[in-house]
Amino acid sequence: MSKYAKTTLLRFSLLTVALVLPILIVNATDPGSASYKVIDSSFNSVREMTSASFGLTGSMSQIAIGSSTATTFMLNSGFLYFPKVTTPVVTASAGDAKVDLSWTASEGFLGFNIGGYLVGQSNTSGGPYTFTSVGNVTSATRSSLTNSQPYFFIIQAQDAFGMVVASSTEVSATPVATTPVTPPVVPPTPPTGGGSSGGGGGAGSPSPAASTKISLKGLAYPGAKIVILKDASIGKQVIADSNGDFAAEFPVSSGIYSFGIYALDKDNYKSPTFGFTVNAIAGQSVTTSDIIVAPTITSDKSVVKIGNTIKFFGYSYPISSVNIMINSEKEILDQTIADKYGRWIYTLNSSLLEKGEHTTKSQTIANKNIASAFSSLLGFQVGDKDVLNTAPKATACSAHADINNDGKVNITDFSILMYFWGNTKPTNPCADLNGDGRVNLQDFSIMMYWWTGTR
Amino acid sequence: MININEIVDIWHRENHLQRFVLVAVFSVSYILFNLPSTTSAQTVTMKTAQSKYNVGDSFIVSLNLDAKGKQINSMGGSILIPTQAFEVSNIEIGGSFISLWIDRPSLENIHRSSTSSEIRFSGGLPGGYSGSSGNILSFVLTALKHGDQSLSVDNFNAYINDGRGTALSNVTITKLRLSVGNDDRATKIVYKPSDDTTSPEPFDISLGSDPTVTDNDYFVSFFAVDKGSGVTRYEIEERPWIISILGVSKLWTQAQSPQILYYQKWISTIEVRAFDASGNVREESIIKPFNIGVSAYLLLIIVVILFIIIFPRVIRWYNQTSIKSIQ
Repeated sequence: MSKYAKTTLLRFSLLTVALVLPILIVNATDPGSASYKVIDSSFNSVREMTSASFGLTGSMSQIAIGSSTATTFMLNSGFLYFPKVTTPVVTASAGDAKVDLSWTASEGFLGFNIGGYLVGQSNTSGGPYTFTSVGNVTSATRSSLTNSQPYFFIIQAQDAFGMVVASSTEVSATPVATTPVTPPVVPPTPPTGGGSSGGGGGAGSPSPAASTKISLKGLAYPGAKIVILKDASIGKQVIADSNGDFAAEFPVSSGIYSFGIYALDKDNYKSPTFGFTVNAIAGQSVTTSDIIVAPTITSDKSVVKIGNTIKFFGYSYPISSVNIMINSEKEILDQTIADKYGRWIYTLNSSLLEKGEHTTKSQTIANKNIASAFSSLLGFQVGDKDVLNTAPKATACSAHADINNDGKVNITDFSILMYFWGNTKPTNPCADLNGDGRVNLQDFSIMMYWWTGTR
Repeated sequence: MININEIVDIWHRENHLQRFVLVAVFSVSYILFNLPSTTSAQTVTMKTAQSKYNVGDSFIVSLNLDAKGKQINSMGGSILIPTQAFEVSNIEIGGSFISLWIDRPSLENIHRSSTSSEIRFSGGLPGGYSGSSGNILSFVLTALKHGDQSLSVDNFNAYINDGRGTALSNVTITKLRLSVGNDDRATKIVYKPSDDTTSPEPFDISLGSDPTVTDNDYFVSFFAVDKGSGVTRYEIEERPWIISILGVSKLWTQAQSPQILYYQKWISTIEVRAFDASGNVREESIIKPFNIGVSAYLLLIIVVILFIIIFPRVIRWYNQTSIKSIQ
């Protein structure tokens, strides 16, 4: 090879390395070893792990944590059990020759950053869809549509490189021509001056337009108590059916409604609250489907002796995959399956972990690849002896923002928080939820997380 | 295979231009790869229909949050508006995604100084908000003075819905820059709020007491939402049972949650009215029971009265029965 050709080759190689090197440097979650790296491990819901030059549609894996290790190699769990980004929950509101779409944001984990969304539109259910990139937003309006013609939409979330990493289920809406809405009955209005206005009258009557309603449909666990918060008050409580499905309907006025949904499983463990907003349009029926409640999680031990096993369990959608994520120095990602009652159990060999504090959480992947948000974070320790996970000892202050200890986190607790708002070292120490000596917005945030409403 | 030593070797052998190309390519690829994380900061923006107005125009400004997929469950801050340049003529929270207000923005709560009017706000919602264009609040301005003006958001704090009160860092807050002209011939822009004839939504009243809140006194808690112009104030009335017939009542007064009750011991009906900015009203009520001490006292009185009434009759009946049996 001539000197010129050699130099050219070196320059070309140099540029190639310069382009590839940042990828090697910045993505710490790429699976690999000292001798190889998988640098294109983006997952696609249709074809797992593809790129322009290869496609991996199946692979060998260990059947349990640690089962595929040897003295000469180790296959880290997580290579095939990558957590999915959460699936967008889509709401379609029909208007005059248009449909307003809004969806919950997909949340990425372990290197997944959501780069944008595609809106798929079709005249027939199931597609094919015409996709439009709308950027990294959670709402879009499809206009110039034909009234009385049903339209079908899906939302796809893309990662930073434009790969589709999550697809919503289909929603439909039929645009309708605007018709004058009959004004609601106006209740008598008392004087608005600051003083008294005499007792009695003035009560407002419910005034939602009769046909304006919001329907919610979702997936939880069989027999779970589903609490639906509408603007922070309990709007409805329903029981999920034997398949884990639930539905509820709300007659409303037009406007933006903030919903929060959580589930209480058969053991009375609470899921995190899933929040989203719905824009109700006068005279329209808005349906939000495939709301997937995150699984519940607990464990048989609070401390596990190193080398012993610890069981994590809870409830999820029946026959769904449950992703387990152990946060420790070496992250462990694994998967189990919920039974037909929604019960899931995962056994971890603690010898994989170092001594000390760890946390874990779980995520439901239901049929059609619908991914939930993660469960609450569960803490546990790896130590020198096993300690069973028993009910927490009664303490002066509830661990879950229930300031007055009545079993609910509601407007009464909020009022007590407000009473001590801004105080340093309040006379009621339970109002200082994070114990930092001040009653402030941080405490309010914790209260919002644990909010139950009055049930 | 080229390793890092060879790259270093080439680095030393190549000229400055080639080194520059190498650094540029490396930097561009690095920036491109990291772009998603650098553009994923949450943003708070103020929006108006246009960027140029004239003195005398009135227009609405909306304060929006792009959560970029993070579930944000509480937030607070201040909007600073130049006092000399604009007058705040209305504040609307009806379209807000916030359910619970700690510091409810209202005209009465505007803090004015010689330089700026400050609209303070803080609140949140269970479950959080993760959308891209959530309305926190809106306010109506009337332009007073021509020139280039800017509105800003100060002390903005937001927290993630993770149960630990994790603060959001690196929130991007953009100033709103407006150009106000002095064109007398221009048609005045007048913001007209949409008609709101709908009452606030039904709401709950919660009765509570706590040893740490004014010596275990009873208080009521309440909040209402209104999808139109937003709830602006509350009133409360306490009507004690029985004695209210005699005209003894605590008539309608302004209220704020938590509201300490006036009749602490007596059973009473408590009614709360929520008013929106358009004057529509929703009224809810709750019954406060006797407190335990009074209940026990009343029970004792009833027992004593019954005893006084019944005991002589029992004695009389006993005596009569005894006499008859003797006869």
